Amino acid sequence: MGTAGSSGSALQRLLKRRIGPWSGRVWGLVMNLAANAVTLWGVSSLLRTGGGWAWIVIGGMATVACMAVLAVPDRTGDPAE
Amino acid sequence: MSERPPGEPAARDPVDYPIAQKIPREVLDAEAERLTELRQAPIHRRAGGYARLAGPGFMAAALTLGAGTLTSSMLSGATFGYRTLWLIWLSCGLGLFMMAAMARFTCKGGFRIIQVQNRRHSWLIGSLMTALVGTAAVAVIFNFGQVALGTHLIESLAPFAGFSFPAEYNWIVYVAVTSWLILSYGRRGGTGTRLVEWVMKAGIAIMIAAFGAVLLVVGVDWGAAARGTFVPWLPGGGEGLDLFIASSAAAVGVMDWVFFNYAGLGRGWGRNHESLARFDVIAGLFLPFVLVNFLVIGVFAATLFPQGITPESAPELAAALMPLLGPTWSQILFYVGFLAVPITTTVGMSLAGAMAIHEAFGWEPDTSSWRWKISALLPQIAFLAAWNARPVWLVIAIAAFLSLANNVVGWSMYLLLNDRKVLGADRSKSYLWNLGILLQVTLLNGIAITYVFNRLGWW
Repeated sequence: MGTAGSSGSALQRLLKRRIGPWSGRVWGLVMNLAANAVTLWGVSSLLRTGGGWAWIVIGGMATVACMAVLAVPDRTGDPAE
Repeated sequence: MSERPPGEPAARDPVDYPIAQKIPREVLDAEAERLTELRQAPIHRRAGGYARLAGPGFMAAALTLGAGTLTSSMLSGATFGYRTLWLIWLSCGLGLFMMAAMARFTCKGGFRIIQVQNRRHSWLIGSLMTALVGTAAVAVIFNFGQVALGTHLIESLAPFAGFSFPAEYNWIVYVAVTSWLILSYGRRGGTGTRLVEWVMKAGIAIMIAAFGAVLLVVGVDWGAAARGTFVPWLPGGGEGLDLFIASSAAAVGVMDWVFFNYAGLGRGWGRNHESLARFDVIAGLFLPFVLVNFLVIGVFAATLFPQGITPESAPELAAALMPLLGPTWSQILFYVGFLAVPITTTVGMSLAGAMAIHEAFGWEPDTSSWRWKISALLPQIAFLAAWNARPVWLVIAIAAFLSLANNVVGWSMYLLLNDRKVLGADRSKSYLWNLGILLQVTLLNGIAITYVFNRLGWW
């Protein structure tokens, strides 16, 4: 949480910024879904063929990163914060 | 919260939701006054006072503790013993973050969630995915399971009283009792709402008392139960992952979120009610959900699990349990406790469905109107379940829509909680709160993805 707070303003601006049709927060949710799919693809490969650890690690790390970024709240612009 | 000068009436927000407008102003003001008093009271008095004022959380628990949830717990107990107890508190606990968001929308936002979704995220997310698919269609389809179980239990109980009452006839009693409760909601200046809430609380109390007494009769392996509660364990392979994802994400879902929001608005909750709403989520939803599931898993872990008996449906599970329960009174008690499960769920789901249908089509809810009565009684079409009739194609279609829609509805809730234009300064400012919601959203994503993988033959 300390990390989120120290780099908060840059992340908060990114999450609020409109990129094409959606805000950064929505794109983050889409990326999280893609990362979840990669992880589960790895799990499915592991169950079927015994391989797929690389997908699990890449997808898992991307999921953690997406959640860590998306959890940053918008604290900008309110008085007495 | 600032203190009021002595003698000044308790401040209330304007009540916008039509169901709450039927409650006399003095009743709402007296409740606000009581809340202000309780805020300064010692914790035990505050908890007691809040428990009396709480309601929507208990109703959400009664709604969630349905035939599906209980069958799943019975199967878990019969198949895995006590080892999956930890999944219950974890799955419901994860749902608390989203329910806290609902409390914020209801109390601080004061808005109807589906209307705001329609405005901010399009009718596709609000009216279609949240209201019609995630709530109204689920109420109709899932009620088939409740009626099938309820009528079966009445049929099983009747011989203890010395007569036969088959499901083909007793569905009339089931539908009459539940319809009366459903139509009582929002009537008679708020006393109807209180009556329904009281019945839901009583239903949960009956479940706890009945299953608790049966568990005492069959005995508990306390060591194994403690290990199952605190040491995570899953079966190996895909089965374990399926069990984890399904249990974690399905305990508290879209219907609970929507229902809590509208039931809170229907009680006239405003800014002063957020502490009560949070208490209601924990004491009314979380604790009863965990306790009832623990007791049911415990009963089946102590009886069918050691014998390796694993029937597949709730009636088969209950029938297999009977010879192991011993005295007749414990069998009756089990059936009575079990009967409270479908009755309360039918009532809760029907109300949630009616609220959702009205929101989807932009109708104002008037509980004395024919439109409300028809919407609320729509799930009673499930009386056909008394003849084992189930619209299988509809169940499959709804399950598919639900699997693919629930996570998107979860995204919508997360975005609204962080939306300055919707909540202003009351939006989420907590990293931990957002993280908890994102964990649940990720699990809902997992369900959608595994559903697609399954269809493609990859899972």
